[in-house]
Amino acid sequence: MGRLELPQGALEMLILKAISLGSLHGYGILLRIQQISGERLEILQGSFYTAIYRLERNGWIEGEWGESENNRRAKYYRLTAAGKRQLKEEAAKWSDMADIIASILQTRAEEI
Amino acid sequence: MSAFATLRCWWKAITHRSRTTREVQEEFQFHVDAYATDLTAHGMSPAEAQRQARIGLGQPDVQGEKYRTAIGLRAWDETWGDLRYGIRGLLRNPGFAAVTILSLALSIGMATAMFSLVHAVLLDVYPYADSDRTVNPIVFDPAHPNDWDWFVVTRAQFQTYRSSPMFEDVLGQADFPVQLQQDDGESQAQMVALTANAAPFLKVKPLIGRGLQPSDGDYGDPAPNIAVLGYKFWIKQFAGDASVLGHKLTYATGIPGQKAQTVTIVGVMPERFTLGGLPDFYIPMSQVTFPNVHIIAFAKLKHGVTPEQASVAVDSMVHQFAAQDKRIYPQSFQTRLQPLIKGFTDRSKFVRSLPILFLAVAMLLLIGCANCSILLLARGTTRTHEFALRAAIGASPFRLIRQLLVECLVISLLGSLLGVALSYFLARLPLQLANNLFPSESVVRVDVSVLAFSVLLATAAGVLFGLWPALRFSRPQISQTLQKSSRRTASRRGQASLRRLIGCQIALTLVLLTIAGAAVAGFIRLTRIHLGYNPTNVTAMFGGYMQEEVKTWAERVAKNQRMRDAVAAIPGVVSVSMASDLPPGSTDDRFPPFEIAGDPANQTATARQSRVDANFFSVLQIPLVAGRIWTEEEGHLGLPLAVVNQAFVRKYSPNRSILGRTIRLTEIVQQAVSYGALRSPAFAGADIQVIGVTADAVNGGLGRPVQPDIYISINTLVFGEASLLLRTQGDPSQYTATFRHTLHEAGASYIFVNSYSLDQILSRDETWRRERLTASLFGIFAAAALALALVGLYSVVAYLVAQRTQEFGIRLALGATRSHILWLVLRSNIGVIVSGTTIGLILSLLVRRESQRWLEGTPQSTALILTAAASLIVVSIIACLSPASRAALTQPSEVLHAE
Repeated sequence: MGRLELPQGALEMLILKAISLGSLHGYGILLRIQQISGERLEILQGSFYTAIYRLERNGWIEGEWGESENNRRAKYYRLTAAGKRQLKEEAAKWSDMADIIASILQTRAEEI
Repeated sequence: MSAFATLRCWWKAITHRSRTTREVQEEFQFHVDAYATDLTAHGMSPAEAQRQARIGLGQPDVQGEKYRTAIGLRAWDETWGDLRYGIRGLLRNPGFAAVTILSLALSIGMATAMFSLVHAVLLDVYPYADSDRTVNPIVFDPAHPNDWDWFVVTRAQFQTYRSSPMFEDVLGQADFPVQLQQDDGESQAQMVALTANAAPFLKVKPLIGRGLQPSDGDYGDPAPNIAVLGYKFWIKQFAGDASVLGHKLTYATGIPGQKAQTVTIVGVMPERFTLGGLPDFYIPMSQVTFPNVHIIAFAKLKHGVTPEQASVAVDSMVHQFAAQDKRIYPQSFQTRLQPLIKGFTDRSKFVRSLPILFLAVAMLLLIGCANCSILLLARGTTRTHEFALRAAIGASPFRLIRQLLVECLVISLLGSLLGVALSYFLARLPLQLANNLFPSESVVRVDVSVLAFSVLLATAAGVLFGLWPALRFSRPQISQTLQKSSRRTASRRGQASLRRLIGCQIALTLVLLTIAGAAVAGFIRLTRIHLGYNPTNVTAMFGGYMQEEVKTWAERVAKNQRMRDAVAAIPGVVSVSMASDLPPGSTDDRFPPFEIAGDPANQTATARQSRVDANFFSVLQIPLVAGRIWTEEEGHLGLPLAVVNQAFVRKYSPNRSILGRTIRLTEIVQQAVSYGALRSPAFAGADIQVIGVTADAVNGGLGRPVQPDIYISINTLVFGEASLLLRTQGDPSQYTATFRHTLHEAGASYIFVNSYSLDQILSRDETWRRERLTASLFGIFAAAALALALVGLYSVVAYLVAQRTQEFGIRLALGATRSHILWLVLRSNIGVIVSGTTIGLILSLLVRRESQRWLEGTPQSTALILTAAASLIVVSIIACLSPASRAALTQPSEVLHAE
């Protein structure tokens, strides 16, 4: 089975989730998402930074320059208070949606 | 998502553009490097890892742009780029830029000037607080509701009026002509006293020092002996010197028993504070100590009370006032409370001509916009190569339109900036040419609303003139254009739209020219009018004495005679007359009725009635046509003798000699007596005998027909006030001081109000000033329109000629004559000029009737319109000639070599 592509809007939520576990730089976020997903997700490089820039513009994440593991300047992102709220909302919406879709897909003919 | 966070992000990206880009790139570089390090860790060679990372992620240098797109700044960046490109383009073509910006500045300037004039004289005139709720009481005869008048009240009446429950507050104002006594002699001044509530009522801050304040007191309170100056007086008398505070002023009212008063200047009011009709200085009411004061009342209506409700409420009150003193009220009347501005709008004929002025400005604006469109189309056609190239590398039509519109907005906003500067001077012109046509509070100023108007107008104009060319150039024919060797290509379609624009311009210009022609002709006719009297070297002096002072007829006559004799004795005075009315007379055309004995009763027979002495006709040089004028002796006795003018004879006795007949003036005599006139012992009844006929002299206002007039001797009915007419040798103004001094010596109780030469009175005449103003305004508009249209025409022809240079070269090389080329260029434009003029002629004829209604007294001759059309055609052809002759002088060898 090949890697799955993310549906619209899901990447933002995953980025928020990845950062919520601790502040990370861009490459770190990418690695963490792939690590958690067990390398099963395909994240397009082009859309990844666009998503980060948008999240920062919306005031959900905040970047700060720090030092990386190998002593280089890197921009570390952390979640803002608004970002935490946003993550909570998105996650709730997402699991509602997943439940509904799953229940529709599991419906058998005799149940209708 | 928080709007604040977005704005902060944008702000940072815009103000720290290079830093944010650098940071984005650095972050991305870190990402690439980290990826490459990971790849190396998995066994790839470092060089291969770097290469793979770049292939996978992309170039860090474009990341800055991606960032800006992601945060939504793309449109901003592009527009900003268009703006810089537009400005660079204008700087590259300074000639084009100058002509477009100037034509727009001219038309926007005129429109803004019109707006700031209306803003200053109509929309936002008064600097006084709640001026929309402030009302003046007026009285009018119900039969003639438009013929109203202000009235004054006494102190006691003012207190009654003030107590009306309709009013929040009532301000009282009393005017006094005074003599200022200064080190260098006496001068006349206008003084206004205000009640103690003036400051809280008007809420206008003084310019320097302090204004009047409640503690300065009302009638009966201790007088602080202070004065606050009006702005104009401060500038004129003290050259705007701020150290004027603390100076003393000494004034005398000339009212018997009143001594001269010395007051200290404590403040100066700002320019727009002119309450009481531009007085020189203000004093508190507590300094007015004499009992009889005439007060004008300004009332501020309570919130929610309409002027109509309040009018009804005060009407009975005012009728009680009228019962106390009949002299100043009409016989039957109603009271109306009207907003301050009504006093101006009701009586101003200038306000009536505003629609046509706005129409003119709108036409001028259209001409200016058309000019810009023409220039943009012409320039755009030379840029088709550029547009095709842009479209070829991926610009969408929308993108091209946006770029062209941004360029237009740059032009129009620069035009508006210049236009506002221009409008500041233009808008002041009407106030300088005819200040008496506008409320005295009118001061032209550039404020937020004027600026906003101009910028909005410029934006609208920019879109208006820019959209059409932009739409045309937004879809270039890429392959055709790019394949052409020459970058200049003439398109037939482009020429057609240019011609259409030029035609419109010419048509509108002709309409403006004909209106201006009519206005100027009207004014010229007014200046050449046959007056029927000779105003040169004649001075009129206005004044009078308190009626209470001189109680009997004999005393008044003696006093008048003394004044006349004293002035006549002044060296240089040729002759002196005393008269009730002065030419050119007032435009009021309601006269008292009379009867001619022996004629059938004629209810509608009315005539002016002037009281003059025997010298009147010789001073004004009005010739006698038939009969005689009463002798000095007859006049002195006040015998019932009359002289009528020819207009009277034409109207009331055309077939029968009027000489020796009797006129019955019952109503005139009754009215005069009720107004305080004293009758001569010789004039017992109301019958008066006509002994002479004089030629017509203007007596119903300038530019209006001569009214029937009955002249009777001034001593038959003597009033307290009297005006003197003096014919002098040479310029009358040199005698003013002597006159005043002499009058002062001759009659101590004579109140000298003012003196003007009759020439001055003519030039201050409202009709004269209004016609001069409209003539100047339309003259300016028409000149601007003509200049714009000619510039537009010239540019189009020059541009078309430049495009066809090659063709002309070939034609000449093949043997065409130079005159043939000249004709070729002219021919295509003569058609446009003639059809534009024809449309203009039709439009002019259509607006002719309307403009006659708006511009009173302007002649509307067809000859004038035809002359304007013919001259427009001639100057238009002249404008084409210069570029056409350049075409004719094309050197075929040069053109063909250049190819």
